Amino acid sequence: MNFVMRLGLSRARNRTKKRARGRIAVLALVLLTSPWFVVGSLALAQSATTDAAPAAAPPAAAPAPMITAADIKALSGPAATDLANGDPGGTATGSVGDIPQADTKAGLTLADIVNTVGQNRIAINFVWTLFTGYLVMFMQAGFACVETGLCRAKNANHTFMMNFMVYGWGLFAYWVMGFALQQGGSAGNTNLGGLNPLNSEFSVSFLGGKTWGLFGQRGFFLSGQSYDVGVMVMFLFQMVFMDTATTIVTGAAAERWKFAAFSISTFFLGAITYPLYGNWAWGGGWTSQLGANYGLGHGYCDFAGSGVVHAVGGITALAVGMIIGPRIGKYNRDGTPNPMPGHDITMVLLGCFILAFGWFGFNPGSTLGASGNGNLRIGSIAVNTMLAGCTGSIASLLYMWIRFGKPDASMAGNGLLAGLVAITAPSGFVNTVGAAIIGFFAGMLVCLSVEFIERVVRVDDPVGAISVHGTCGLWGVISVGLFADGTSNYGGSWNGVDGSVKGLFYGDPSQLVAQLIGCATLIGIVFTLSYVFNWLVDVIVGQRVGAASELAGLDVPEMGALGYPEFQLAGPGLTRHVEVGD
Amino acid sequence: MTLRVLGLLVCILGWFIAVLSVEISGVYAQLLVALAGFVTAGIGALAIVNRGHLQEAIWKGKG
Repeated sequence: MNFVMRLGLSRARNRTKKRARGRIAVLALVLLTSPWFVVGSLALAQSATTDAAPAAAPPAAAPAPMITAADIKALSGPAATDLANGDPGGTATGSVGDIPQADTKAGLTLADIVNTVGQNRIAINFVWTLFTGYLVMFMQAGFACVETGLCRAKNANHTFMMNFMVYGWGLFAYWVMGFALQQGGSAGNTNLGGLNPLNSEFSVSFLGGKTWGLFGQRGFFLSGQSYDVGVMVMFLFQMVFMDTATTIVTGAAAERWKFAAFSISTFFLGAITYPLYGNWAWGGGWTSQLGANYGLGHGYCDFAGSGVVHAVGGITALAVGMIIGPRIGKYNRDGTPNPMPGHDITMVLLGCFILAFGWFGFNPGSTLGASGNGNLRIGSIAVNTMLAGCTGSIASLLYMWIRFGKPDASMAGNGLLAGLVAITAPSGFVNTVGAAIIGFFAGMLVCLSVEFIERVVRVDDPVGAISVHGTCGLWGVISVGLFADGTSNYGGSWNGVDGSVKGLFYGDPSQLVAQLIGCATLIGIVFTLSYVFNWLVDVIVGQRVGAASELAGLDVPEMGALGYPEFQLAGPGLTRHVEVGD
Repeated sequence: MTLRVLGLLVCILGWFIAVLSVEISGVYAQLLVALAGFVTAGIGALAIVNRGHLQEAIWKGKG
């Protein structure tokens, strides 16, 4: 189906100039009208904010009643005999009798009640963070489907296995040292009980004598002081995020990456590159302190990881893609690209749906709690996530439809992911209008970027990972500095700066400066680090399989078994015709 | 190889330019310098390092 559609696209490129000019005119119209849509929407959003500002003063609070020890002693729950009859309405289950007592002889005390309230808040946050972490973990299945579907059938086992084993290699690397480097100095998050064992950050004094946190020093192997319930929850949640970054690279290097090189590269990304940038953004490191140290808004703000997760993965994918080179047959001698369509578009779209589902863990879960500290904003974050994915897929679909004459399925899927990637950083700081605009631009941007990477940069990226995660990840980071509306309140401050995060359109241009420094760091440091390490892997191990293996497909040469053993692959490799065996 | 190393140095230079924006007074001047640093780093990666690879691209080879 995809192949037929690609043929359609190819024919569309050859239609008359007149018709092409017509499409370009429509496209230009869309592009030209978009800024007006943006300005109009922003004006609408700002006027709504202004209109809603005056609020009636609350009535003077009555003095709070004193609760005495006698009051507490007098409390009683339903009788055991009543409970023995069952509670189909759920009105009697959970009462004073369920509050644990520190000293049963002394009976229930005020301290027991207060401690239970506190522990319930942490329990809610633990369950929320763990559950959303499980959702993010399931995104690995989505990535595996998307990447495998966009590759040729002869590489299905190899591509799927890389997505499978990023979980193993990445988790192991993160447990050994990655988590410690990233979060080892991040004590203080009250949502998860304080995370007090993670209390050591390696810092240097730089520019203006300010402290620059570089990496954490607690939590190696999750041993010693870090053997703590809150730390474990944090580890699980952060680990699945790291795993998402590592799985991005496998898409860009698919169909020619040596499995041994992939394993080493993934280990390094999970152990060092990702954790370093993660520390600078989320672990109390230097970019997060740009606000406190230099007055740049609230420092670098990346709510759920457009930069930390997606841009790190996408930019590492760019470095690996350059080193490993394009697939045989991708480019002609004059540098023009040939289409190499994937083998299963239904698998791709199913994967996109799984990823969109998992994103409800990715973004709302990044509050690290559902109770206290403004965490009830999770509803807004979830809706923002949903909207940006929606507008992203619409924008990509329209772009491809207008430009090439067909609504390309794979790019509609990539548009959905682009919108989701872009909203990941701003999801906790923007309103729904902002989210819709961010997603829409991401959907168009990913189409432009795919063409740019393929035709101008000439890096072969079979699944569009560099564009979806790298380009749109950077756009997501920048969009915080533009669209953050100043209404979020996560405990009264963010990155140690009081008040809410505001972008350029809402009155704080300095936030955009912090975001741009974050983007420059992603390319200047993360790209360089990834490039140097993967170059070393190339020299020592070799990144790329041999030409014979590549032409035959990597399933047998690299993995020892075909992904689809019942199929018979015809031709010497470049042809993709698949015949069903008997 | 020289081009690739040069590209990486330009990437790091771009980062350094962006970071130096914190020392400048005036938020819009900071904005311009940070943007310049970001663009410089991008040029280092996409234009210079990549050119080093394209010079030896397999599709330019014989056969």
